[in-house]
Amino acid sequence: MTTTAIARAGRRAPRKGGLLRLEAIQGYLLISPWLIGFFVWTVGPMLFSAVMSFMDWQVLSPPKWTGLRNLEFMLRDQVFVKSLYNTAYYTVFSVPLRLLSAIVAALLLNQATRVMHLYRTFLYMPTVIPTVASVLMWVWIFNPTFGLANIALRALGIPPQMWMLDANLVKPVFVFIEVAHIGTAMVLFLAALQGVPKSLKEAAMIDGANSRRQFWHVVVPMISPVILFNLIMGIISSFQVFTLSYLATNGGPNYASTFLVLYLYKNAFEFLKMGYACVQAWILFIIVLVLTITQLQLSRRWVYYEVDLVGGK
Amino acid sequence: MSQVLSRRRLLRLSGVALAGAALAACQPMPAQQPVDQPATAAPAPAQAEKVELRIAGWYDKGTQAAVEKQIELFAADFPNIQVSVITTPFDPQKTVVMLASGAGPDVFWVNNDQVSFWAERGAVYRLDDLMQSDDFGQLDFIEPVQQDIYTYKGHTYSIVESVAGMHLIVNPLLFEEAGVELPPHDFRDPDWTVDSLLEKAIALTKRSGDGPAEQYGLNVSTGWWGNASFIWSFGGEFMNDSENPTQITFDSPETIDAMTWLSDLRLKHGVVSTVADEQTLPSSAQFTSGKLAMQVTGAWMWPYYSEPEIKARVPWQIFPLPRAAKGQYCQLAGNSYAIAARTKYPEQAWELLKHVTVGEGAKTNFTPEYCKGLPATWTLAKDERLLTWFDEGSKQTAMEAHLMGHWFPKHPNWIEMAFRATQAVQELWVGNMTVQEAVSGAQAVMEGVLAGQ
Repeated sequence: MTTTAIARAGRRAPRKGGLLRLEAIQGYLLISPWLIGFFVWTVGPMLFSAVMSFMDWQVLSPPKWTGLRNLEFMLRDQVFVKSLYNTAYYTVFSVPLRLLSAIVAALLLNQATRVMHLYRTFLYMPTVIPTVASVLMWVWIFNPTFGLANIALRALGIPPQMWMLDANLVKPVFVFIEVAHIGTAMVLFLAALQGVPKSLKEAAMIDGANSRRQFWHVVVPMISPVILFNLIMGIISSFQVFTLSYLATNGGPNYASTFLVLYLYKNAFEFLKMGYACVQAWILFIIVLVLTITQLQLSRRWVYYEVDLVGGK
Repeated sequence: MSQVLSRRRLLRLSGVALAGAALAACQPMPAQQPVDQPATAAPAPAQAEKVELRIAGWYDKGTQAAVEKQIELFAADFPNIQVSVITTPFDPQKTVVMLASGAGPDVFWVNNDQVSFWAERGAVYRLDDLMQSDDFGQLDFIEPVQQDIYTYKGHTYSIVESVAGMHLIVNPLLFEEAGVELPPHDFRDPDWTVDSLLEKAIALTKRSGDGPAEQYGLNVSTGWWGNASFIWSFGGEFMNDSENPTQITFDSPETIDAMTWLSDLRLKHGVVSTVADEQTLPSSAQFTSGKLAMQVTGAWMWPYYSEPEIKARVPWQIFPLPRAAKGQYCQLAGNSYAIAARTKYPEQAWELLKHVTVGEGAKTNFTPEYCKGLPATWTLAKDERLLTWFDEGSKQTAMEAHLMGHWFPKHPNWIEMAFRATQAVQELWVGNMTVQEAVSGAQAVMEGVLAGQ
């Protein structure tokens, strides 16, 4: 019997209304802590910020209605445009590079050798180091005078660079730092790789596929859902980059590392332009939502799910 | 037949109910004391009623100990008032959030350039009536500090707690080693100019080859608190009027001269450590380790530099900042205390504020480990216990700094202007931008803020 037929049969012979309602109420009661929390702490503040977007609210004084003034200002705010560009730059480079590094690392770690667990620990370790400590460490690594990065360059005969103090280099440095933190994505890829049935690879091998073709035509499709997940999560997290620029450069030099969330934070809590910050937050939300929906739509063309979700066949 | 409550309907109803509750909870804030209306003190509770007050500031370990001593003294006179101490960061975000949420301090530190920030937003109590009722006109404040810095639009919003003009702090041992004469303690000395400062800095810088120097002659911060004194002395200004600023005047030939002189210290003469070097070894660490001969700083460093092991290693003295083309100014740094507009106990808060600024509590700071500048009044400043650990010359410098005093414009968005201007000039200090580009960029961003964004 198909899923549709079962559903129709179910609808033809409903259980008694009272029992169904009771079950529904019990279900909602059980999830109500989360629901209440979601509406009170997420939806409520979101709606509040939507209203504040039309206000001039300096936090310490009552808000004043200003209509679309915040939005108008945002469209001509050069720093906002720059922060949007910086965030897009960071996302365009860090996300694919991070995915690629994570896949490569996972492939390497998916070997059955004796000390592989040590390599896995080593590669995952940056993820568990507290963020502040990690950022301070990177600031030292990229210190133009004493940092390891310039020591390495000098050893290769390349002149030392200003790194985070250079407006042209600060974003590539941040991308590099992000790519170094591949732990979570790597673990997910590793799990996905280990879930690829050996029988499929063997079948492909029997059919004459070499390692490269096995990888592209068997392994990649099988791990494509995880690629999609890491891609979406990577885009979302890269659009929310904050700690690195706040601690390392405070958005400088000359706004070169001012990202959207950092600029939003400064407007909200340092310049006390909460209404303007709310507009920026909504723009960020819309951008991330559009990108996520786009990725999900495009995923139908390249993501392969082992279970067919349509039609029950 | 009973109607089944569908999932969709239940979700819809719940969403509407909770969203409505969330919106209803977002009540407009009760209006704080507006800038244009006079303060009205709440009726004083009975003397015996127990009151809890909170006092806040960006206290370091030493200052917190001093504040706790002040509170002990205060408790002897006001046993019904219990005071607790909150440490907040220098940037006002935490205090803003605490005040907005109703859990803020009753009395808190206000930095010398923050009075308009708080007053314009109605966050601090207007003190005029309280001062009048307590005959504050009789007090001999060290002016122009109280009158000019801690008033806004003709009203007083905070009482000065420390007067601290920027100055040079110097390691005389390095001068002796290099055979260089110390600067004069008297700021009126006509030979004490930026040129002679540079000469001394060059003579005191030791470098062999490329890379960081073994010893730097001078340090001036890239922040406005460090270099504003020189900008003013060269004739530059941030805005047209410090009291009622309406125009940005930063981009001027005088400011260009000042910023050129400042950037040349690092990039041309090499007498100041680079921004990169300071990431590794901040200027204070350079000074305490004997690698820095002169530092432009404020009295907030005195307690740290007075620690016995540091003082034994670096028997420092202070000197006035030099004269430049158009004058001789130092930024009047230091703090004040204000009363939160939303305090439930303004009269009790006023008693506490008086105690820590012009009362007995202020004398707690008359020790090397707590003293961060002169107190609010001359009566207190002439106390025989104050600055006894200074040599006579350094004491003269400390006592006269206010005569060279200048301060930042009193614009309620000055914090934003200063930040944006800092960003605009940042690349100048690493040689990636010309002085004109930096100054023009700073002018433009400050104008943007002023235009009411």
